[in-house]
Amino acid sequence: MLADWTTAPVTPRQRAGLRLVELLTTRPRELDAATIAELRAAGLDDAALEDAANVTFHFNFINRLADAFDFPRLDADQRRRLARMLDRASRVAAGARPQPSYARGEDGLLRPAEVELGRAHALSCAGGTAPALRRAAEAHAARVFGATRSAEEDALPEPARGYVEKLARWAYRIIDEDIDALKAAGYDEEQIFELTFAGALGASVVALERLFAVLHGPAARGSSDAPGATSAAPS
Amino acid sequence: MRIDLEGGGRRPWYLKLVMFVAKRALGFLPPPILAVTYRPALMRPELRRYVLRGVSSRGASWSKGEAELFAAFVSNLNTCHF
Repeated sequence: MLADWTTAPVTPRQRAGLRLVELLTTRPRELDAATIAELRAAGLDDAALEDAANVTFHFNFINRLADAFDFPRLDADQRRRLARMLDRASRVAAGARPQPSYARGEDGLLRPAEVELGRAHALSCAGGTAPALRRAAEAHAARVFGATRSAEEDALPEPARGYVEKLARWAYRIIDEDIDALKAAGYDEEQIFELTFAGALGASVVALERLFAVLHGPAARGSSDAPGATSAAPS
Repeated sequence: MRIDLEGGGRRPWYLKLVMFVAKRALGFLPPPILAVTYRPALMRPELRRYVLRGVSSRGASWSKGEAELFAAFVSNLNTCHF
C-alpha cells in the first residue's frame, strides 16, 4: 500500500489524501489550484487538506531528526506505547485549530498561525548558534524544495551547507562522518542540533507554505501573484 | 545516537522531571521526545501544539488510522525507518 497510492485498496477520499501527502513531501511546488480542485472533488475540505499537511509536516520534520541523529529503532511494543502516549499528550495539549488557521510572515508568506510563530521564534531566539546561521540553514533546506527565500538568507558556510543539503534531500544518507565533519569544523553538539532543527524546519515548512498559498493566498481569490508564486531556483 | 540527546541539551528541571517520569512509565525514553525537549527554547508552545495536533485524533478530519497511514507513507517516501 505504501509503495503506490494509485492502486492501494483505500477509499477515494483516502487516496486523495495520500496523493496530497506525496505531493507535499516530494514536490510541494507542483501543488496548484487545479490539483486542489480535484482533491476537493474527492471529498477533502480545507480542514482535511490542512490536517493532512499537518501530519506531513510532523513526519517530514521528525524523519530528518531521526536520520540525522540516528534514532534507535523501536520494537512494535515500544511503538504502540509511544503512539498511546503521544495521543494522550495531544488530547491534553494540542488544543483546537486557531481561527483563522493561518498568519502572514514578515516575508509575506502564509503559514499555519502556530508554525509562523514557532518558526519566527526558532530562527531569532538566543541559542548556541547565531540566529543568522539558523536562518541560513532553514533557507538552504527550503530552497532545495523550491521555496521563496533570498540568496542572502541562504549564505551557509561549509561544511554546514553540505550537511543541510543532505538533510533536506536525502537525510537517510547521513552517516557518522557527516557529524564528525561538523565537530571537526568547530560545531559542538548543541550547535549541530540547532543546525539540524533549522534545516529540518526549512525542508518541512515549504509544503505548508505552498498549500496555504494555494488555499488562502491571492491566487485563491483570482489573482496570479500568490505568495511564493515566483520561487527562487532550487539550489 | 550521534549526539547525546538524553544527557546533553538545556532542559530545565521540570523537563528533566518529565523525562524521568516518562522513562519510568514507558520503560524507555522515546527519541522524538528527547529531540523536542533537548533545546526547549527553540520550540515555542504554539509550534509544539501544532506538531502534537498532527498526531491527535481529537477533532481531526482524519481518523487515527488514516493519520497513521499518512505518517507511515511520509516515512516511506523519506526512506526513514522511524
